[in-house]
Amino acid sequence: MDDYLVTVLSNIGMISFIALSAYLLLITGEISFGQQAYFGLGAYAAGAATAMFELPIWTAILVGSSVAGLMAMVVGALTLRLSGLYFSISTLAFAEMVRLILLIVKVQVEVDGEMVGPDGSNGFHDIRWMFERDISLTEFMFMIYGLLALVLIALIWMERSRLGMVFRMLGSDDLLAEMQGLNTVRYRILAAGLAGGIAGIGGALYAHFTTYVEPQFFNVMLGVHALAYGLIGGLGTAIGPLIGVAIDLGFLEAVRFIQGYRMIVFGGLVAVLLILMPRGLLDEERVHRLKTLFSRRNHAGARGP
Amino acid sequence: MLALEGLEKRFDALVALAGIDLEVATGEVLGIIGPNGSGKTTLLNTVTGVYPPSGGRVSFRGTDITGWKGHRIARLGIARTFQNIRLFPTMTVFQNVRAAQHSRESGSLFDRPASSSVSARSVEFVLEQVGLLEEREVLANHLPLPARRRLEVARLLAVDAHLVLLDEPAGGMTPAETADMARLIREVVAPGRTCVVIEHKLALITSVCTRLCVLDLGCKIADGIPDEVLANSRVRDLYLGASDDTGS
Amino acid sequence: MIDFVQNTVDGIMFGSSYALLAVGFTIIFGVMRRLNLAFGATIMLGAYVGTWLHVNYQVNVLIIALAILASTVLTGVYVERLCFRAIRRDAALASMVSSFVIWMQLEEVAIHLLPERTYPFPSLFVVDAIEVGAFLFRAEHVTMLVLAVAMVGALHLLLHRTRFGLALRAMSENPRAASYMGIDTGRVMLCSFALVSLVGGVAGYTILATDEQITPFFGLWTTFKGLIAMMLGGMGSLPGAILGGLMLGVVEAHSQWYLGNEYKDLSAYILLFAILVLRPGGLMGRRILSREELAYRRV
Repeated sequence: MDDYLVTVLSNIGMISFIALSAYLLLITGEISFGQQAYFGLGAYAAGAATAMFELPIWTAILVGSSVAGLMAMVVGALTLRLSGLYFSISTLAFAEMVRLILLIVKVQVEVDGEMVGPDGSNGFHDIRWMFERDISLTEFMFMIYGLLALVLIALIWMERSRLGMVFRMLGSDDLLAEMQGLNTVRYRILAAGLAGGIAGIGGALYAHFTTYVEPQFFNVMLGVHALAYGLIGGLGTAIGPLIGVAIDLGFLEAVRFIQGYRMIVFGGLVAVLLILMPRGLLDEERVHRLKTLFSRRNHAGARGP
Repeated sequence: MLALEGLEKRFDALVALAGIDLEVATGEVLGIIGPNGSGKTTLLNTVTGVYPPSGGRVSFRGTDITGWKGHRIARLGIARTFQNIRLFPTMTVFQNVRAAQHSRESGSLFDRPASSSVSARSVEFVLEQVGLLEEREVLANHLPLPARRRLEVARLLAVDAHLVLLDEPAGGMTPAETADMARLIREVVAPGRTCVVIEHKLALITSVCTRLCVLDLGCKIADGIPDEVLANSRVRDLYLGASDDTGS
Repeated sequence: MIDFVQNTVDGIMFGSSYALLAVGFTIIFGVMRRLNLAFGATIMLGAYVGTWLHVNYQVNVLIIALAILASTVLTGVYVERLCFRAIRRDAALASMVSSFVIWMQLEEVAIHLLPERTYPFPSLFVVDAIEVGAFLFRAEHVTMLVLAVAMVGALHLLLHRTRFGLALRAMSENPRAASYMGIDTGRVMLCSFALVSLVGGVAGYTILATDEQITPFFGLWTTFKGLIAMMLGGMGSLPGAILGGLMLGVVEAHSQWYLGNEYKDLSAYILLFAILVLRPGGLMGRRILSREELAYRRV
């Protein structure tokens, strides 16, 4: 595979993490404009783990994901009393705070005679794990998709479990959930933490794939795109956001002749899609219909001679 | 079972409940009637912890639950329905009942909802009781209104509630559907449970309630055996005279 | 002390344009109960059309101003039709995401119009700064304040003295009741989009005439300033939007002066986050909104 294709595919994979993160909050009924903050925190924390402290990559990804997840839980607890647009804007404010602070923070240590670490507005350079271990882009791409598959399987499994049902209950009517005995506070914080952790994994991978990160990448555009992916693909299943990412990054990257008019075409298409399907391609009703269809087929197959 | 002492609820300047004293004995079916805005739904909301009371005390089976959060009150064994029906619209009938059980369980979060066949069978049992077994895989927002009300009732039956609060269970129903709902409450809900029923339709009240209480402007103005309360001239003037939505 | 007063007054003057942006956001939110993310981009496209006229034809300042207002209003109407009118009323999230992709679309149209990074924007007039005792005020800032006060005054009259204003306020209180009372809600929505686009166009024009240049980041910038100012004051409240705008201006002026440029935006966000956490609903937000909020939450 040529490097260009590998890069495009890897980007799709890494952006999918933040799309899944926004999706997880969407099904619990929260619209976050700020998941890019946890992507960024994951990138910085994991980058620091390998470049500054020379930890192994898997530990670094775990560190990135946990730092992001814990921070998301703290923010989740602080913003518990907020709902709707107030919640959305508070996440936006937090994410911009993180980005602007990262533009100021300079923490560097000497590794092999060179200064390494976050360097304010210059970003965080020389996260050279891939070069040091001689990992090719293609190998790293498989790592990305391996982790993405794990997260996706976990999410699909969660959706079939009691926790998934609890999240959907929160999302469709949190007063009713509370009246039925559900501790909504606890689950809102849990959802925030999980979503932050997923975004953190994506960030950790991103830092090592591009070998440098700069705060400018984690601006609000990334967060709102993540939100849009979930809604385009549909809120009925965790596959939805991936479809959204694939349509934007994959499809439009492939159709070269609209270069330069990309957003004009894409924007118009999505606007029309949302008029026809306000909860995305694979919304709850369509997912339900597909499931019924499949289970009927299975039953028919089982009964067959 | 449930005891309210001087229960008050104010929304800024508006007094919705002006000091209500009420005791509900175990096993009785208490009807609450009153004109619109008399504080019936506010009473339910205050008891179930939608919002905290502004004054007074609520105790349930000897425990003071004043100011508790809704989910703790629910777990103690109070279940309710809603005047403007609340269901999880994108879940199936089966899942809606299952969700009610889930919220109260403290078992593992990662169990599959349909994995335990015992509880699946118990859901099917209550769906059969309310006559929704055929519709078990239908999405809740595709059900007609009477079926939605019955689904709310199924949700109560599926959990272990000592006290059930029904907020206009026959709201928007035809006389025939109301009679069905009355039979369901009398034969399935009431046995083994203490009930409080808010309703405008006297047909339902007279056929299910063992006791009746009348609210007006946030005060209790009558309380007793249904026939006697309805014969009370003050109640007749205030409630029956002023409202034609009696369904009788 | 002189610095402090000077910064405060500068902040209020510049903040008056933030207040206009916030008023635009808050009126739309009041009428629609949905967030229009394309508001900043609408203003930007209008401003780009004006700049395009300026760069290519060197037309009169007044014509540029009129062209900006006209194209902003047209773009606003386009956004209303596509992202709000055509989408089910209860699908607030779909409208918001739709307005976001249309933001991206409008931005690309603007960039096709003028592909360079920065363009000069004609200043309103060339006058020296005004000295008052020890203080010094830029003429553009004073104009900004005067125009903002005039706009707010006109808006107040429009909302409280006309039938359209009454209909708009009724819809903000209770959209369903308003439609039962025979108010043509579709028309009110369309007119309010046109109205806020006009307000936004004025704000955009005065800001650009002060900066004397325009970049493709203008859409993002106006969206953020307007949103922050609206949230500081509390959604759906006109006095709140004005207070929020002025406050944002003052905080930015002070933090820029005392802490440095890189803390200007940071302190605004810290203030916003702190206010939302400590006083959910903003400084002057109506508590009644919480009920509508619940409806909005069910995305």
